[in-house]
Amino acid sequence: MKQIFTYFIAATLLFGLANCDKETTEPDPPAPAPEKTLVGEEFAIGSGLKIQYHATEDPFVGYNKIYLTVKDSVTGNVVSGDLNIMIMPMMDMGMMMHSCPTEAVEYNSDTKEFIGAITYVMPSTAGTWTITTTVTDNGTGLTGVAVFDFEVVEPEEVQLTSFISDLDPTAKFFISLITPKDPQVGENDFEIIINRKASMMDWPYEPYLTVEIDPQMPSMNHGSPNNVNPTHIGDGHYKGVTNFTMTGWWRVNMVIKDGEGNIIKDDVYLDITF
Amino acid sequence: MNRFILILTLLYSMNTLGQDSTMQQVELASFNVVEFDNDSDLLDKYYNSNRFNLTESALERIPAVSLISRGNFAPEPIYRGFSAGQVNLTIDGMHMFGACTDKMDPVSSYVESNNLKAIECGSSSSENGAGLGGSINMETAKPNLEKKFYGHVASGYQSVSSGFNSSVGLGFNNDLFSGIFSSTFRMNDNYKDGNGNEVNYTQFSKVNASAKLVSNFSDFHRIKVDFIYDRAWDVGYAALPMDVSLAQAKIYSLTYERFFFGSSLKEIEFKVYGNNIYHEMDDSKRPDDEVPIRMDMPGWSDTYGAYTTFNWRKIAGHSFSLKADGFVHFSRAEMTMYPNDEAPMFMLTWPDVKRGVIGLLFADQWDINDRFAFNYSLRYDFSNSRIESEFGKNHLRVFGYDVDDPINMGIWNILVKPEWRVNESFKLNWIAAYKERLPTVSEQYGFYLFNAQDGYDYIGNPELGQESALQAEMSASLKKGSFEFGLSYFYYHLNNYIVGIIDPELSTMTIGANGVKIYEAMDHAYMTGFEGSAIWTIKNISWVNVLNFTYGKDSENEILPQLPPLKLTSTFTIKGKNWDISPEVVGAIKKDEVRESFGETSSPAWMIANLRASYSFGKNTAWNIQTGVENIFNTYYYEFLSWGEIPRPGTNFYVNVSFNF
Repeated sequence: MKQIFTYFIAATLLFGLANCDKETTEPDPPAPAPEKTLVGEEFAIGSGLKIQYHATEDPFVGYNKIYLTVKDSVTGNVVSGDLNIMIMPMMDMGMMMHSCPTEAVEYNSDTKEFIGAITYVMPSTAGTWTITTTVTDNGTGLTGVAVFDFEVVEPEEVQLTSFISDLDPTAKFFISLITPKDPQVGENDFEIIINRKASMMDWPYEPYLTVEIDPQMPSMNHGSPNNVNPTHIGDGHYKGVTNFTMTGWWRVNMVIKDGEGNIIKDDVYLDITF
Repeated sequence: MNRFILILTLLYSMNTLGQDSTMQQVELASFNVVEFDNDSDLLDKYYNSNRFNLTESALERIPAVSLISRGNFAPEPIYRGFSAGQVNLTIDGMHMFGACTDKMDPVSSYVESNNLKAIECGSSSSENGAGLGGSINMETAKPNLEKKFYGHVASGYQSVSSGFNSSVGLGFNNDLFSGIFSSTFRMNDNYKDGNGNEVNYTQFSKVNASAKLVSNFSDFHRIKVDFIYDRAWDVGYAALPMDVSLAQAKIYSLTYERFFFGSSLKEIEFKVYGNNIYHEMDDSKRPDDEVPIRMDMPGWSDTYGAYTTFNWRKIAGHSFSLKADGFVHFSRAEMTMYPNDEAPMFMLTWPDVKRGVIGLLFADQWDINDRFAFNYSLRYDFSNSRIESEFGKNHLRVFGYDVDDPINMGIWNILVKPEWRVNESFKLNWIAAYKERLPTVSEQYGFYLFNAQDGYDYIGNPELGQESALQAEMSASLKKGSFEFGLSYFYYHLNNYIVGIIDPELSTMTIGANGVKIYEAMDHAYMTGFEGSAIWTIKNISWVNVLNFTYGKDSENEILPQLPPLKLTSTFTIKGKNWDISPEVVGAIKKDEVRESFGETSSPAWMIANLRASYSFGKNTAWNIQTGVENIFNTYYYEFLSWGEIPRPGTNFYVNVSFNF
């Protein structure tokens, strides 16, 4: 009798408790970093080195992070020594030539990679992109130049938008989306880089702007709450938070102001669809 | 067995008390238990006037119960103005939760009255779980042990919706097992209102099948297996922007009962159960100009649980019972919108919520002497709620909520119910209770749930605490000659009253919505009202009148939502040897004071008349015909709780023919 009593109490409680025990819900594993692929490989003639150009995507119009691996031309061993690398992208449109924004290449000793960024501002359909990469081996004193010749494609969804300042008709700005690359329902880091075209060859980043964002779903006519306006985090990068309440087509509307709060442009946007 | 259930539930029922006592009982009709299988009872005619009534129609006959209708199917039962998470709606004590975020599938819509033995309803029971507004338990049919083999076939037609209904039932008994099987099929078009106009999106079709197997091989042990399958399709919801293409439930349980003889412990019942509901809202039947954007909204609700009850024999006036109870509930609802030529939009409206609850109930029915009884019960539940998936958590993070950790909450339900049998014809009882309830999944984690009544998108609030109520109730019943009177007066003081509060900062999700509301706890609210009944019976004539009224305000002095106005049902029945006839009047007064912030509008007074009759013939009255006219004068009306002021059906002629063997 007593046993039955105990058994039933235990059974019932266990049944309920079994589900409460599993309180430590494992967080979903973070999305694996996108695989890097070899986009191009060229000899830096004169330095005895070979440069491999890796990226997570084929070159596209927008902000491209690049990962360069330098190898000995003969042995093929990765060279991790004291190197200086400079990149100079050039668009040859026949009638004219221009460059585009870049970020200085820096060495990452963990991955033995030289990491930089190029913001291609137009696709290869307009002309030919070449990336002149100059490598100087501070150990040997040798300098070599490798020239990459890439096909830059227009991505499915625009990653870069440009506009002319309302305050100064000679100032042209470029805004490139950095994140989210893999947008989720919920909070997303929203990071952009803003450059100005100072001349055909000079595309400096703009650190003194104010950016206000308002994500909207054009087909639903609604926005989302609790977005955080991007603020400058260095090197022309602005980082904030955009919230997406569902999947679909989102348009992140932006108002760009100068350091004094004057509106440079108030109808810029980047679309994010997922 | 029956008595066991009744005692344990501590139902507010006159029949439950002191059946062993020597004093003659006040045999007042119990208005909180609807019996379905007692054909000789006059009151049965009152409850179950038409064998093809929906389960909810029988429920509505209970004075304290009202129905919120959004179409012609699956109305939502509310008890004294308490709804949804405030009321415990169970089937054979099994917890079950609708899979629709818009409350279009209350649990009662997944069972057929054809398969029910009784509906037990009370303001004081916490046997089947915690809740402020009491509990409604639907008890499924039991085998008829008097026959080796029996069954019925029935078919019916109703004119107002060109409705065709049919059912079959089969049962058997042998030395080892008893079994019953029953099935109901319904098909209804749109009905016509009192002006003769067709009310669009009031059609529905459904099929229900249930099977039960009970062991007979031992007096000490009993094993029961139950299964119910229910499937409704093409269900219109006139008051909502969407219909339901499919609502499907599978409900199953295994019960073991152990009976003891010659000991103080009388019985142990152990049950494991599960139910799986799938509900699919869609708008594919709506014309383009009514639908700004096409969408699908499927929902899932799965519950698995177990309970054990112990019931002791009466010792020194005390009848103790103990119940341990646990269940796990998983709910997920999706919304996918399809704009023209653009990417579909997808979100979760119930973001993979898992809730586990374990509870313990102790109850005692203490018959102090012939005149006084003292019932009391104590229940504690512990709950653990969390969002299961990272994807789901991200939804609520948009509002800055920290939903990484599960939410643990304990709730108490404590009740005392003294009773004084003043004399042979007069009885008084009181209820004093403190009750708590958990926030519902929608209140805790809902994500842009559109409410068609007030036109707001609702967002859950994981920071909500438990809602609580202090309940005071007094009931009197009097039986004098052929008259019986019953009156209950109740008052609830609610704390942390959960209600949607407008957040002007948030932009709406639903196209055309008025704004966004977040569930918040208001400091307090109160609710008060009464239920009254008067029955006159002589020989084979009965006249049943029931009246109910509820009123309440929140701490902002605004009237509470969805409180029905004073409603009267008056049914007169004459019963002959093999026939009966029963004219009836039902009506409500107008309702002017409404909660405007909930989108309520005033409703006019209405009154309709019904006439029903039945006739049995053939050997052992095997054949039975039920016929009747509902809304005889083709009155155009809608009830206060008819959402969207959708008119109720006009004149309806029905005829049901059944053959029993």
